[in-house]
Amino acid sequence: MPETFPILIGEVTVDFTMPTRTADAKVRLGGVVHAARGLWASGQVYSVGAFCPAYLVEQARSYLIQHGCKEFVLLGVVTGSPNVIAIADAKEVGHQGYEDILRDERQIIPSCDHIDLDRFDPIVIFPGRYDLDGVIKQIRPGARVTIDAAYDMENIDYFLSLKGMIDSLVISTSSSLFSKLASRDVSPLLDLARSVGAKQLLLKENRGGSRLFDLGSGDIEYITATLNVTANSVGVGDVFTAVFGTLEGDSRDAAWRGMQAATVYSQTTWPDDLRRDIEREFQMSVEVVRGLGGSTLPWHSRPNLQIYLAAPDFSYANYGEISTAVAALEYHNFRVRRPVKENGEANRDAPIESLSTYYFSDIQLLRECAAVFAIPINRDPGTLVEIGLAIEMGKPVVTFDPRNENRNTMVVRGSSSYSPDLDVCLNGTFDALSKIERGSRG
Amino acid sequence: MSLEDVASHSYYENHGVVPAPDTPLTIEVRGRVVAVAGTEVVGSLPTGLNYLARCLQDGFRYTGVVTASSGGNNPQVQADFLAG
Repeated sequence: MPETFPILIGEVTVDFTMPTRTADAKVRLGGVVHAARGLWASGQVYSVGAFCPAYLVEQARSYLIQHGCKEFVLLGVVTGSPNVIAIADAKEVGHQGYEDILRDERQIIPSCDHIDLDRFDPIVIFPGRYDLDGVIKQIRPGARVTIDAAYDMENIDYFLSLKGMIDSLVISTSSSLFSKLASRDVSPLLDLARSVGAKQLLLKENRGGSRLFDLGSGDIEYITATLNVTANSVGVGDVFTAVFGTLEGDSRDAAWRGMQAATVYSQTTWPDDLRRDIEREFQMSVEVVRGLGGSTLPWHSRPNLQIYLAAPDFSYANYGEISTAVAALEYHNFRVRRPVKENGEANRDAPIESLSTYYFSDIQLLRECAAVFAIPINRDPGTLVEIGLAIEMGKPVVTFDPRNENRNTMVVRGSSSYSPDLDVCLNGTFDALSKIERGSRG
Repeated sequence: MSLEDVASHSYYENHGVVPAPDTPLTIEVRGRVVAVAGTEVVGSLPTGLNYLARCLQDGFRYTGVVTASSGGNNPQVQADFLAG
């Protein structure tokens, strides 16, 4: 049998991360190129089957060939759209706010030449607006196929038509298919994966790690996330999928290697640093990596670990930092309990004796929650008291201090995590609740 | 940095107290990346520092000291480390 090589199939985009007050703009080739960078940095030889706007073809080809790509196969040309993705939140603190410019005008014209994909195995597919059927028909029978159902895979009937052609299904909790099918219960997703004949399902759960479901045995491997400073989260999931889908051998080990590569990818956008750090990561055995620990907080466990919002969440105060933080926590499927909204808000000149009801109700709610997310804007006294009460109750307190007003010994040291940076506080929340969840799992 | 799971590691289990400030520490991989006093594990480093495992494998070494500690129901240890 002739030698075969892995191929990554997907669209080439330009990712434009918009500038912020603290970070410059960043422009780089995206889409399937993220996955390719991950394989190059992992030391793998691979090919790319690309759907690409005409103006990008030579640039993409040249870039990829310089980064380990053995063969650049143009599968189709994108017209009507520049395939430029504008990205508002590169750290995925909350919703990333992707703007796929002129997306509704996009058309993909398949390459006129007959393209032989028979020589490629394994195959990792990142679906897009292109004709997936047309691609799958050209694949060698029996090839190991992994599909990342991140985008343009909402049609379940279409999915079922792929029966017998998929070895591994990969999906992220931020994908629309996951939202549609499994945001409350993972079972329908597992059923779908079994229906198409997949052997395993890899569910990527962002900062909460990942779960690899062996659909034959029913075993679940919990892959940890290592939470550190995020430089850029765009394409991180693609790198995970590419490494998982192309490594030979045990799928459990491939998932751990994918996690390692993806973690490094989130921490740098410089290719040479990426390659150096992944090489060093892969020198550790998978068994060592498994033992190091990290965050494991499955999407579906998060609502059970309720978070008490300690903040001046009053109707008369409109603090953008509070709404941003709540939106970020809810984006990650945390259930945020807001005492002021739930138990009511005392009138500012209400008599003192009328305040007891609010006080006792709020204390009861605090007792019911697993952790406290505190935002002591303006050094709000109620928030600071709630922080103290929670510390004494032994509950983890994550203090988000966006205006740097509370660098006080008791606040900083009493909190399990303290920062003016929401990204850091989100990591602190995952870390604290992951420890509680792990304790309950035994 | 704050060490984790101090109460469940061998130093606290063997002595019933936390190590005093200025106790010398090293870093090793024993499953988790941990801080060690002599041969006993004082606590785990935060998992955000897991990359130290690959640095240790590359031959880097880290020494440090306990900078603050407190016992009680929730024993805690703070530590500082330097490479070299």
